[in-house]
Amino acid sequence: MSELETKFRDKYDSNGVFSTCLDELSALVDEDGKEEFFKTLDIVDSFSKDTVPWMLKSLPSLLARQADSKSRLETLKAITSIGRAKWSAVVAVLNNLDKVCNTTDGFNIEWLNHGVKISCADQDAAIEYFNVSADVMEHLGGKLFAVWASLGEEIATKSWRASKEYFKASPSVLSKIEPGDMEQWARLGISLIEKSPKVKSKHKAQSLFAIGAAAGQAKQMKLGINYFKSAPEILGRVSISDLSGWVEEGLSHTDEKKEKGEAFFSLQTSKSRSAVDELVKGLELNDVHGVLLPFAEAFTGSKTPIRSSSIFYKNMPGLSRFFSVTDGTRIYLPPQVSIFADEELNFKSYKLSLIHEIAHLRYNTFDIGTKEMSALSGSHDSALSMKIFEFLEDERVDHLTVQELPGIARDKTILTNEFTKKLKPDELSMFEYLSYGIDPQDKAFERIDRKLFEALKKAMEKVKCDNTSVMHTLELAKSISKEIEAGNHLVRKTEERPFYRGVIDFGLIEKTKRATEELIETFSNRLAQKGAEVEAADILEAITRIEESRGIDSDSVLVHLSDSEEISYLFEETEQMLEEMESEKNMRRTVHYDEWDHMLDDYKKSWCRVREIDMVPTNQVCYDAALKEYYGVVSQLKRHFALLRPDRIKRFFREERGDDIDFDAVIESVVERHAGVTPSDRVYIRREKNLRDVSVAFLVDMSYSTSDELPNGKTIMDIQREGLVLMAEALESIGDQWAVYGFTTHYRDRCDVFVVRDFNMPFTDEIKKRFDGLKPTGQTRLGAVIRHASSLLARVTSRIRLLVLLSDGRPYDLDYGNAKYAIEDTRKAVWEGQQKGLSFYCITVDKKSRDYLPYMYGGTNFSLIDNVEALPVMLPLIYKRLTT
Amino acid sequence: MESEVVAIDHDAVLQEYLVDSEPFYLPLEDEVDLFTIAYEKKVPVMLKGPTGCGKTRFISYMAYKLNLPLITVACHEDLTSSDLVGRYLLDGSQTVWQDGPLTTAVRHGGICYLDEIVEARKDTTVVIHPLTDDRRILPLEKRAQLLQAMDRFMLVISYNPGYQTVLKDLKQSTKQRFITLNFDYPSAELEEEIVMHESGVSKKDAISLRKIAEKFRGMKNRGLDEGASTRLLIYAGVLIKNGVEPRRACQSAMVDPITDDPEMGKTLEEIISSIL
Repeated sequence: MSELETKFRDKYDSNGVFSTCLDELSALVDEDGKEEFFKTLDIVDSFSKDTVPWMLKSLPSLLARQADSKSRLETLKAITSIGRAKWSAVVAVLNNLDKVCNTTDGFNIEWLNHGVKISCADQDAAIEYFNVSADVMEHLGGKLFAVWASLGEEIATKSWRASKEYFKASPSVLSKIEPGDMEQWARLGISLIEKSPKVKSKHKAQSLFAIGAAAGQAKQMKLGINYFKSAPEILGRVSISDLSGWVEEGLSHTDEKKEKGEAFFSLQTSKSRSAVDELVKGLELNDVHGVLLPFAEAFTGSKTPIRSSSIFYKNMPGLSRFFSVTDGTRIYLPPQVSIFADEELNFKSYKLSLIHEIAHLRYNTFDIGTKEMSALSGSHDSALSMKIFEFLEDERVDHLTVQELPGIARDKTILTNEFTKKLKPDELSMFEYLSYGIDPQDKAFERIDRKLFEALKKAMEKVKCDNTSVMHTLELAKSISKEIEAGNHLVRKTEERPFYRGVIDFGLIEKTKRATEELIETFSNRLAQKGAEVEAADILEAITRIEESRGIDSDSVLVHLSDSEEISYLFEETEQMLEEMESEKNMRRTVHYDEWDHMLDDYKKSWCRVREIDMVPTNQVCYDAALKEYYGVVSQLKRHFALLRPDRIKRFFREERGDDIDFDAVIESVVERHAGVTPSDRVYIRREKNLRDVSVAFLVDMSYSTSDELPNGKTIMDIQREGLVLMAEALESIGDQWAVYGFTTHYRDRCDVFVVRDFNMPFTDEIKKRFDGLKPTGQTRLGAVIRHASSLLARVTSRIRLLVLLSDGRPYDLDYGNAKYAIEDTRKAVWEGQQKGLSFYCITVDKKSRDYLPYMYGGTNFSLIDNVEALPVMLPLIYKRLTT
Repeated sequence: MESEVVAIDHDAVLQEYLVDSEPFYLPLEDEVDLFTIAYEKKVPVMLKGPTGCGKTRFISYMAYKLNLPLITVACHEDLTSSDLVGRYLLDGSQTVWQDGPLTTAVRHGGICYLDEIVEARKDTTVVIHPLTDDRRILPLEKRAQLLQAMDRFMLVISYNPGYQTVLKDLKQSTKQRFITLNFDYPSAELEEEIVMHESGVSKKDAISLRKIAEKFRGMKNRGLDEGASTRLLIYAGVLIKNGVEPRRACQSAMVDPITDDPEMGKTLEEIISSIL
């Protein structure tokens, strides 16, 4: 009895477990084997005492499944050396041993030997290896499994982290690609690990922030790791050859210039993003989004957000350019298309990809779901079956599209001709031959299965009828899959889709639908807790708007958020958005205006969003109070202004045409005729309405600063309001057209113009109640507001059109640049208005404004009121001076 | 003052206003019946609807059907009430009263059609008020006369509530004097038939044009103020019929007239090139 045996017998044989195990073991292995077993036990014992009894119980039965004592000994030896690397790896081995034995190809000592080698490189990787082995073996079979494991070893020697990801990803990746492509997939990862550009460490060795051994060392980019990590997500969407094309391109950039390669592979920072922008040739989604969006909506008839598909490739930047998909609501398109050298062709590709995704939505591909699709996944080669289904369904919807939109057929022909021109004819995939209608040469059948090709060709004809549904396609795909199984067709090369086609992803559709419903439910519950009843449709609308505002290449789909912190943040945003939507019920419209940037010497396009909102009527108290306070002034003003009102009708005598006859002229004319002189034909009286043709719009600053209190206890806003009340009374008596707009801004996308009274609104009590709504909030982004007020004023056809601005300081907003920027923009906005024939006048109480007002409005177009309290009386007087 | 006793040959006066041949018109709904009843019962009619959907065509069709002269006034901002009612003119050494179009219709019978009435000044439109209630009279102030409308007189106005600004809307007191026939773009089949008939294009082209218009109309308020009218479709059809390349024809007849925004223009072009 060896030393170890005595030790364990003392320790673990209290209930006879050890003896039983030893008895069973004696029947299976010789003394050497037992010794190996004790060594393993010893290792495990020193780390986890609880595991030992479990091992004692399970090991003999597992060993019994081996054929002979020699292989049992080898097994035990292998387990021991794995145990030396890490005890928990032994647990992984024992846990999976049974499963591996149960696979079609059964247990092979090679399996353990690979494990030993991997565990030498890294124990964690080895544990992953053992855990996925059974699955992988099912996918690959014994021969390829050995290749797979050796590749894993190779990766492990280069980067243990990458190998861990490699093993972890393998089962799901292998379910998506052809077994024959496995090696290419792994090799690609290896080449990425080998050639990943090195990035300089941020901190030098002597830096305070330098940590441990990494200090000052160049760091290998984690490209290989990312590659394996995202593989399950990417593959099945992008083909292996796309992937290798992408990697090659990236590496060629790296060869050319290191920074370029870095930028290509890493899009983590905005700086590197823009670096890539410079590298990428071709057309970008950002540039055509404005055209594609309404285009999509015209065909779907509903809101169809278009997003960049880069969101699916967070770990593998740049790959998304091969990929488009729809989630039932949104359509994801590649962030750039650079298939052709010609921009127009690239645009056509965008359009074709888009219309293809729309076709899936319009022709009801998603009537079925993952449940129906599971019928395909049971077949021998589920990846191929899925591809066949996808191909046929693509053909079906494309056929229907072309029937309805013949123009698309023409575009498609042009594009495929151009596309195939670049390639050698035998470079096309089977699907491409079929879809483009090109007959493959005999040589091509070396890699394409002729029978499958013919079967697909026949099926293709069947789906190309007008009244087919996705169910037909599914049935056809099923029967072809069965044929493959029976006839043992082989498809060797990964079959690529035609270049413009995206992926049909039922999982994504269902996930999106479910997630959307859940998110809405969560939000509506939370809102209900706060006592707010909000319709689901409104919540969805709010979320959609938030998503829109984040841009087409933001890196999340809001409804897919899972992090609770992010969801809470989104909830807050949704609440705000709902509020905003509520306030929009009074909204008349939203308009975008350019903003002038004097540094660029150019406009920033559609920079500011101005919302034109009806002021909500509240009460008339302040209006009446102002009338009462200025009673004497009001009646005086009324009289003065009424005197300015001209006669309504003016007569013009001796006109060529008119409504009445001018008898003096007629008599003269008759006399002239009798005297033999050519008589004048100007004998009519023309009457013309002689209106005082003045329109004025008052633009009132509602910024925070107007809440400043004055010595008499009123705020600047109070004074402005009183001034406007007096003006209103005066203007009604003179009969000029007038409007009052209040404004407040809060960043560039929230410039609000409140309509207190618009031109031609009857001046009722309802309007008087609106004056109370002039309250201090927000900032003063003058440029956008002036542009909007100008456009409102420009609708009026009066001869004199005057915009009077009441303000208490210089233009300012949180994102309105420096003082110079704001002043330049305002000046430009005023200039634009003047070009339209409008006049501007600014009345301000800001004493410092003498420095910039002349520059903004011109030397004489402003008044500076020193005594603020006098504003109400001064305002009508200034107005009178301006318009008479 | 001239005497009113002399018998007037109404038909002679109105000869030039008669619609000679039957205009092509396909009824959308029951508007023909409604209009006929309105005529018989002496109720004024307002036609309402987007531009180019066939309001004017409908009225000439009805005039032909009812065998009535049609006097059309295109209203504009400087239209005075004298322009509608009439004025004295000098003729040699005497003054002659010249009836305005409205007076002509009232005096001799016929349809007086005030097209785009909102374009006229509001005080001008008030002259029609006494004509539109049961009195059916037109005061001729300058002649100190009250003219009673003939039985065969009918007042019709048209009105497009869509594109005018708030500054141009009809007064309630005017609006509420009419029964209103609402017009919209014709249904798909009708529109195809109309386009084929009016422009002479093939059925296939007509279908394509109609499809384009459908898409454009769907984009109203999503970047377009107004969709493409049937009239524009017919224009495009005429261009195509006369040998213009179809996409070019649509571009100049259907895209450029409705948008000035280059990006939107590009979108519309792409829709056209997808459908054609």
